[in-house]
Amino acid sequence: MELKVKEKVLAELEKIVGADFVSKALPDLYSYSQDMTENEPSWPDFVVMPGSVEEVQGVLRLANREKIPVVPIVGGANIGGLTIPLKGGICLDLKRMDRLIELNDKEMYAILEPGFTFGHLRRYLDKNYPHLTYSYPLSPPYTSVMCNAMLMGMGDMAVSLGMNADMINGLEVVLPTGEVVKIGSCSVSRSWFGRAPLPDIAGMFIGWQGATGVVTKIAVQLWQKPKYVEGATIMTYDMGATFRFMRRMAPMRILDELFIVPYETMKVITTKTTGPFERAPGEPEFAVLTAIAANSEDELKAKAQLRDAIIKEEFKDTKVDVMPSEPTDLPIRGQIDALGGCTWMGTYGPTSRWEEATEKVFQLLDKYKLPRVGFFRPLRQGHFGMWRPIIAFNKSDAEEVDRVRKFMREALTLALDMDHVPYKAPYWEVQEMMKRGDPNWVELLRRVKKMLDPNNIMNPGRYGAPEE
Amino acid sequence: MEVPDEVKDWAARCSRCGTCKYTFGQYLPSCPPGQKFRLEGYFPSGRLWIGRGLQEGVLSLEDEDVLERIYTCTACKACDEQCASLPKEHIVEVIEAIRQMVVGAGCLLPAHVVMIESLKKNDNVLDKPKEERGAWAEGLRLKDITKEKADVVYHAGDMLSFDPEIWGAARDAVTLLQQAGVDFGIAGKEETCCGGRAYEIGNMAEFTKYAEHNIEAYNGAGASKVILSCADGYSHMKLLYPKVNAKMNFEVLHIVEYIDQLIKEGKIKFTKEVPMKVTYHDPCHLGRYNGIYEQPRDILNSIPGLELVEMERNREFSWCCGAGAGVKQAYPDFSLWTANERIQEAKATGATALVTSCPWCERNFKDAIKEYGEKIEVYDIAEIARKAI
Repeated sequence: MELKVKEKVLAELEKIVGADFVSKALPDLYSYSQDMTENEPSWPDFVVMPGSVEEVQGVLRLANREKIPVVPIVGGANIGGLTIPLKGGICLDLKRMDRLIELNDKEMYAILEPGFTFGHLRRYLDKNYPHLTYSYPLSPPYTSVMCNAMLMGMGDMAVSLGMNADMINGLEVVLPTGEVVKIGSCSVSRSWFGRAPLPDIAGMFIGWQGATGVVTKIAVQLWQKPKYVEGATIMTYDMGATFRFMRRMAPMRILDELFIVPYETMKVITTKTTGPFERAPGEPEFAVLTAIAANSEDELKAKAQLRDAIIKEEFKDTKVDVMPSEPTDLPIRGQIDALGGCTWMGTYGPTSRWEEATEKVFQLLDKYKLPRVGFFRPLRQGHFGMWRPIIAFNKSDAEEVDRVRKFMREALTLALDMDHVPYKAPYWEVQEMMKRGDPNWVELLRRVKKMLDPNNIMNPGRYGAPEE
Repeated sequence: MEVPDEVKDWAARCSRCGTCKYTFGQYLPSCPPGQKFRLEGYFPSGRLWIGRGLQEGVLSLEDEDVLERIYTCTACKACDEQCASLPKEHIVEVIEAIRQMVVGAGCLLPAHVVMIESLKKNDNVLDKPKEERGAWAEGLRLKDITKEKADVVYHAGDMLSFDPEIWGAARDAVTLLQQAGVDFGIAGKEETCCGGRAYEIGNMAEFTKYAEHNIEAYNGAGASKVILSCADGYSHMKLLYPKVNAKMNFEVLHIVEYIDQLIKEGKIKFTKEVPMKVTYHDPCHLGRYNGIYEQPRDILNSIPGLELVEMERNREFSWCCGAGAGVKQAYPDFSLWTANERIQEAKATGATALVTSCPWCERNFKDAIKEYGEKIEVYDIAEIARKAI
């Protein structure tokens, strides 16, 4: 951006949000130029922190007029390089918009602004509605409820209910051209009870990584907190039996949580180092973390009996250790003593491919001298699953970063070959999917993007980006 | 530009997960500058990344924006308390190391230059004439340790020495010592700064000079104990002096530790009712730096008629008063905003008085009350204890 234009834009931005909430200071731009992933940094020109919908509109109208890229961001901990401003421009930090607008305990939903975090939500519910809960992700508290849902993340109820995107009741979005639009029941009634039975245009925004507009309000579903919860950790010694057990349990609606971590994941968490580790003889191959929720002790007991019976059947030919464990209290604190770097090949896909995919990714991790760390979880009672090798790495070691980058490229090919689709995908994964994908799907993405964002200002380089 | 090991070792370790930004489990803000300015560079994680940027050579110490983000940190250590993985317990260390780089590069903020010049001229950071030091003790007939030996030395520190409005904290502290029959004295006009503020703004040479001087002076007085009412001074003497190349022959105690000990030994007895509802503010240098949480509460709970109520963020979750690490001098408005946040939290408890055990906290709360037109009394813990005798 030319200096004179920059000065003019700065003056206008300051008029819109106030001088205290616009920065072109290098230490701020540096902070927003990168994240914890291996993705290359790219510097913004400004960081802007709007405090209201009107201010967001003002910024977008200006950006659209001047054709300045705008990248929405809240916590910036998405593990996908999603808020790195690939083409510079404005990082639109929505932290200041952190109000809870309404909590409806009858229809069990909350209307939130983008800066309202999991920490905020947990605090508010515990204090005011202790009988309600949310599908909290395995993430630190300073992350946005809205971002997690819009990016198709998941929480601790994903095994039965699916992604948090499935629990969005409605949206308020500022379009790149500045109009405010309501989506869902709230567009025709006062209630934000759901998206049905209207044409579901939320799909023009969910999963788009901020490339089609800025969400300024979101209604998310809350759930009744179960009275009884029992956790169990199952240490297993055979991959096939582990995944078979998972596939059998998921559709039965017995377990409310079921996630599988390779042995080295446990080592990384318990030793607080990054590995890699040699698995000693006799040590388990996987840990399966489970939780049962119930409304009565009898229900809890009955579910536990069923779980134990299935464990006995599925692991009859192989060793298994079952131990009681406390279900994870969410949100969590950052757990891995990394060296500043963290990335993943986070994907959704068919669980029937997991044995093959996991064998292959383990070989790939070994090839790049990376620990066999990952999280695998069936979603929506096993209709699909989250398959996610995860890597903590030394961000200031160029050789290690290069190794991680090479791994990620090969892991993407592996994942796509295994029919898995990356979520929270960085730009280069999006490009690869658009290259491999149905050409008409790609064309439709581009048409939707062009219709909503004629000047391609919103998070350029992501889904629907014009061909360069 | 030489990058200190602390920056090399720890600045790159932060993945910016954001855990440092909340008090865990309560999910209330933990970092005053982050909460005030909201931009990432004002949060602990942003500061660590600034360290990384300096190391990479893409950021410069001559950039005023870098300095502002580095020097709005009050070194309250809430981030080190909250961070659950590395760089846990090294965050403030990195910020202090960056400040040493700033001093090395000759880029110190003007307000801090004034502090250092005052140290050189007056032996205090407050730009007050040296001769006025010791005036707080007038009429108390305390032993002068420059002339006679004493088992215990009471070190008033800069803030208590030169601010008549809060002299009560020091005068009541020594009155309690007198009543308990403690053999103690003061250095009066000859007392000097502890050097802690110099350390906090990155001037190691000035800090070392004062540390060595005080160690020599108090060793020379034959003292077995040095007692302070100032939490900052206490922490600096206790944690930093042992790193200086001079052997300390004395133990360093904060007045709350000593009073608590004297109460438990039966040497101080509270006999008068103090019918007050108070809340206690944990000074960062007493709490998070030294783990002293229960002694002040034990003292307050042993006072007849006094009701102690807790603020939501208490003990290791305590919100900083905003005065530390040179912030009060360089960023007075932000410093008062921080204090006012705490005052609002104190008022929410229903207490009529906010009690603390550091003169920097007391001063800043009093200033914020004036600035924001608030109504709550502020006391040092010794003043409350004195009322009960």
